[in-house]
Amino acid sequence: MRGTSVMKRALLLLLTACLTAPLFAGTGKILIVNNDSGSTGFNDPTPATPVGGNPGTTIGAQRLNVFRAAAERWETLIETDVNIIVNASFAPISGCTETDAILGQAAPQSWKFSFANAPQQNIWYPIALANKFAGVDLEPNSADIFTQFNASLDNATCLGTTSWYYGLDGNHGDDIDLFVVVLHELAHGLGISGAASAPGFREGKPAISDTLTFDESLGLRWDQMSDVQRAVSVVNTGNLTWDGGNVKSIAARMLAQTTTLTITSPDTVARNYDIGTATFGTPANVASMNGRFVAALDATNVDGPATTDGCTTFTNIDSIAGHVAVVDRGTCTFVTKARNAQSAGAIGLVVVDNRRDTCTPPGMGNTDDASDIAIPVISISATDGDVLRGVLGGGVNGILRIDPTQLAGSAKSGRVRLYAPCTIQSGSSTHHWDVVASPNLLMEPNISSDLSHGVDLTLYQLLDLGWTAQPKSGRRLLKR
Amino acid sequence: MSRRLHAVLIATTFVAALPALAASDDSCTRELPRAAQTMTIAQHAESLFAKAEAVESIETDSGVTIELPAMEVVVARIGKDGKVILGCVDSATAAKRFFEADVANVPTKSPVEK
Repeated sequence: MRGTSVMKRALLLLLTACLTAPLFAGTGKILIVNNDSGSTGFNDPTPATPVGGNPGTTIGAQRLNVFRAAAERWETLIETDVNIIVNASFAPISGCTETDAILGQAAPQSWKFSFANAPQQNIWYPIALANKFAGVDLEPNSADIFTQFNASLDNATCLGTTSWYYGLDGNHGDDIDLFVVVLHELAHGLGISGAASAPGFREGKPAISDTLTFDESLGLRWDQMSDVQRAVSVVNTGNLTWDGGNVKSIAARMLAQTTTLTITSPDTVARNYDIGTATFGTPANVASMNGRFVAALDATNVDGPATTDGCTTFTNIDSIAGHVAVVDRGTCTFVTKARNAQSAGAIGLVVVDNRRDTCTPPGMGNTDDASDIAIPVISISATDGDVLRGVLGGGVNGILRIDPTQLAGSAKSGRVRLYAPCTIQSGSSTHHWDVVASPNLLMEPNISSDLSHGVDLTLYQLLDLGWTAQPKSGRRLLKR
Repeated sequence: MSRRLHAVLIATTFVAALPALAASDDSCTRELPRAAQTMTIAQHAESLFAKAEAVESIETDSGVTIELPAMEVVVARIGKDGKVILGCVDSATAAKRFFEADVANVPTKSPVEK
């Protein structure tokens, strides 16, 4: 009788334990600490109408709700037994005008090495991740992530009529979706960041993210390179990639296939080239451009000062007809160049970018009528243009195609490309995905306005850093 | 001075000093610089990263730690089409280029006209 009673109590205890167990493994939470004082930022008492699923009735409450919602998103995806403290502020920042603004900042509060249970020695880990490995809060007197956002954006004097959007439904219109920006910045705080401005190492030691940064040309990770090699690597557009197994294994499910320009001969320049597309003409897709590439020449006149700008009637029509014309960007519109190429009998047009401060081919729009343009028009970077122009005289052949081994945003190896502009430019290097990725990704530097509220590759990048995923988070992991 | 009066004076001094201590503790608040009017936004952004260069690590019982100011800064400009272009920069050079480049050359995924 007594044995039965003990058994019942044990079963009851077991049942209770099961019912009260947290929904997710790992007991740690991501906690937002309101660092604002008075009636600023998160405490702004200005009445507001609930918007897009955000029930807050003051501006301050709505801001805090967005932060908490973004933190909750990450909390349900990554696992830790140690609370992650986010030191957050939303006070006005003076860095804002009608046209330019600093909207905020975020980073790990601190970095650490040589701590208990560190997976690798002499590597900087962001404090939240270090805490996870150690199983305790290694810096209990300070936060783990800090963020600061600019409340001034809600004033007409800051970026004109553009404001923060505090809804949680993504219907931000022309405003900036705060939820997406916070989601992005918290990911930096969780470790998609560096302990020094790339390509430097802090006190001679790489950050954990540096150990996963790979140069396809050299076949080396950043922590295997010299300072000189890294300085070259950081501007090696298209060849700087993420060497993490989780991201690589999921990339094909996240990234679209892409149309690429494949130069097939001569061998010296045969490879895939990134292209920009046009909003007019025949869509640049498979086999819409297949043949010999020829430099177009035109007169030097008031409409176009160079013989290679394609701004007036081509003078080498006999060479162009039936082939793909190559012209330089500049002076006249893309549509004018395309019209001249089409009139010369070209089967397609390649516009070589004239900007030397970027290696990303431009997308080409049109404001005037382009309904008469029937040929495909693509652009390539100035750097790639140099390569092709150097051999055009000897005959260059190529085709637009979908290369099944290369995704929009990955290298031929399958590793996903990191943002490595050929000169250090707007948007940072290495801690973001390359802007050629398609569909757009949360951790691209320009935080595109068409992003949904998913975390796409970001979660897998965090797993590569050493975070573990909440079990059974199911399809949410794959939702974009 | 009696021991009691001495204790009261110390306590008063400590309480009076509290606000000053809190205001100077930028490791807690890390506010972006509220610089002089003459400072351009590009200079604002550059100053954020400049702070990080001077920081040194410290050794504690729990390992070696370094506390850094801003490493990822969200910046914005109004593009030629009147829409906002966002950028996330992690260096003074990248911030400077973002703000000082011809806005037509700031990378965006939107088609450009010319």
